Amino acid sequence: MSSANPTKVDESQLIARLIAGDEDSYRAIVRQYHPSMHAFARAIIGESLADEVVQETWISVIKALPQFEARSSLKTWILRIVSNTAKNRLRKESRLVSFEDLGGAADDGQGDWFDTHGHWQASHMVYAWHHVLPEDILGSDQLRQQLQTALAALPPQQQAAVVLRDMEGLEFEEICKILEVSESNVRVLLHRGRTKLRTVIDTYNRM
Amino acid sequence: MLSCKDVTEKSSDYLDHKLPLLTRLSVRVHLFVCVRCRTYVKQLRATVASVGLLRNQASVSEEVVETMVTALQKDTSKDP
Ligand SMILES: [Zn+2]
Repeated sequence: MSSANPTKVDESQLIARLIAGDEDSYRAIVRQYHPSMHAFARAIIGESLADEVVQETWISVIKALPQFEARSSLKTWILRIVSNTAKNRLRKESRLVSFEDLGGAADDGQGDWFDTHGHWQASHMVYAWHHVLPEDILGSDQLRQQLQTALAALPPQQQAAVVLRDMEGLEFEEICKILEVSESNVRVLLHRGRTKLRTVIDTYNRM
Repeated sequence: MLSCKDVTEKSSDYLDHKLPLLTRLSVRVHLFVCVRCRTYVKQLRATVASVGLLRNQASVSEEVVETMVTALQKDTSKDP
């Protein structure tokens, strides 16, 4: 192999074939990116409209591909289009709310965990969990379901940040660009979202 | 000296390596001596990893793939 970066090469070949309208390449790209796009669209606009937004996004993606300049990864570029499409749709659906208003309450849910000196309250003792390996945590269908439900119930901005960082593994810089918020904002959103999700697993472990 | 409250508030940034060096070291010192916060941070890390695993186990049905491909072909062929 002479190429130093096979992923980049594969990506540009894939893009060329998509522009040419190759059906198998359409299938390949949909299989690869659809779950990420759907999870992210659902975060912004909710389950009921996520499918429509993703379908609309795919059409925009294919049309805009000749303009893709590989300054970001294809995935980041696609997720940015999901973000714009979903935010536009949100504005159309509800004129009074915008994505920027959907960060959730400032409360991180830790309010009564500590005494006035910042020590753990006896009522909020941290107990070790039965399992700390993700495979084991998700091994319980009930807990898996609860975690999915809790994720879907997070305020849109928190959910979007958790999806992009913890599900998609994107860097902060990319997340800021996609969500159009500052890095400190992303950090706060992650803190609040993750804290709530941890509480779900913790509660399950105390049953 | 950081309190347990400070440490839990910084734990998400700690996992993302987003704390200034001195703060990061203070968190590490606290975690070394405080078993509750150590457990807490371990659990937060496990939570993050579990969310990541949820994503890895997600896939798209072939039915949806075909629907999308058909929609794309229709849409891209009508304006050449
Ligand atoms: Zn502590």
